[in-house]
Amino acid sequence: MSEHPSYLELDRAALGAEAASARAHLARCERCRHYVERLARHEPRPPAWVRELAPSRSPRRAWWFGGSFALVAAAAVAVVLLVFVRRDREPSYTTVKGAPSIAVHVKRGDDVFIWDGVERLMPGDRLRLEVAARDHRRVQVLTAGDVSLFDAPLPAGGSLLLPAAWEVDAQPGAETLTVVLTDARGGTWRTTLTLAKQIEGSDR
Amino acid sequence: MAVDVEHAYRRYFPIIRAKCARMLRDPAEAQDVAQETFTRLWSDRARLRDADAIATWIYRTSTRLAVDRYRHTSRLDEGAVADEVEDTEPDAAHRLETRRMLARIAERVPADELEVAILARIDGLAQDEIARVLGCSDRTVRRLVKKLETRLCRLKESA
Repeated sequence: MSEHPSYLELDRAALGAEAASARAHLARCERCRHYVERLARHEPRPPAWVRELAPSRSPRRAWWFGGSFALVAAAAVAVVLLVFVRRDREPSYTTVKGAPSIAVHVKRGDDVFIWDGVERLMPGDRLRLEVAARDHRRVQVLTAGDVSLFDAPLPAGGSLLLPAAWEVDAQPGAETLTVVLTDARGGTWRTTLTLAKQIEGSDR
Repeated sequence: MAVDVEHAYRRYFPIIRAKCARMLRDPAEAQDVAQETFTRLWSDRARLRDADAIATWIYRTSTRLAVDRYRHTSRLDEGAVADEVEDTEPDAAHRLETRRMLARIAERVPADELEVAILARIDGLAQDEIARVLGCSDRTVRRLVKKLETRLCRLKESA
């Protein structure tokens, strides 16, 4: 039996859905990390046959694009991205079953999609957050330096698409959004999303 | 809400293409199978709920398509060796040997054994992972592995 995870497990890691054992292996195995990094880094330009698939056979809502869903997996992808692309930063996101989850809706031109942890943001993209937090009562969104962007109560037992939207600017550096949730007893849950940007003439 | 196929392509196609390049000897065949896999993924996307389900789906579908190619190519021109896909990943030599073995036996071996051979010997999946990909029990996978190994031993002896 190989000392390395299977290619399936490495591909799951590239999609942000790896098992804990694979995550630990990737932290210490350069060979496997190189494979996953290469997949995550490579963004092929869609050829014509891909664009032809779009209009006719697309259901209106698919989990990776539409509607509200718990984005635990995408947040996990963000962790992978931080680990592999920005090794100077420690990932700050962890999650357990039943934990709150955050979805980032990105509006780019006429398209709206849910950020998957891989896609680089473009200047002019507009972001909205969707929070699913069964046991929390308040949501606060902070930007760099803990400057508050949004602060409001959450409806009990459901998810909330925050009414505020933020536009991605053309400044170099990733966009950072920290979400702090507070429960009825004053306990807090906090996560930071780091969204890399594609700026013309730069790779971040 | 607009649906973004290009976004899906950028996210999933590198994984599909790498998987197909491991499985198939001919670069053009690998590209064809990758394209067919992505097209089917796009059609099926509403049923796939998360990244784990998508990865499993990609492995199941692309492996079955590759087995079809092996069997078809084997029927057309037994023993022909097409241009090899450039394989720079570790264990490339082992995969090359496995691909050649698959090309030799494709027509004589049931499809499910070929699927197990690809998943185990090329992609390095454990038996429980193979069971998950193929949607069968661990016991079935063990049986298929045993049959395949027995068959390969016989082939070696008769060669």
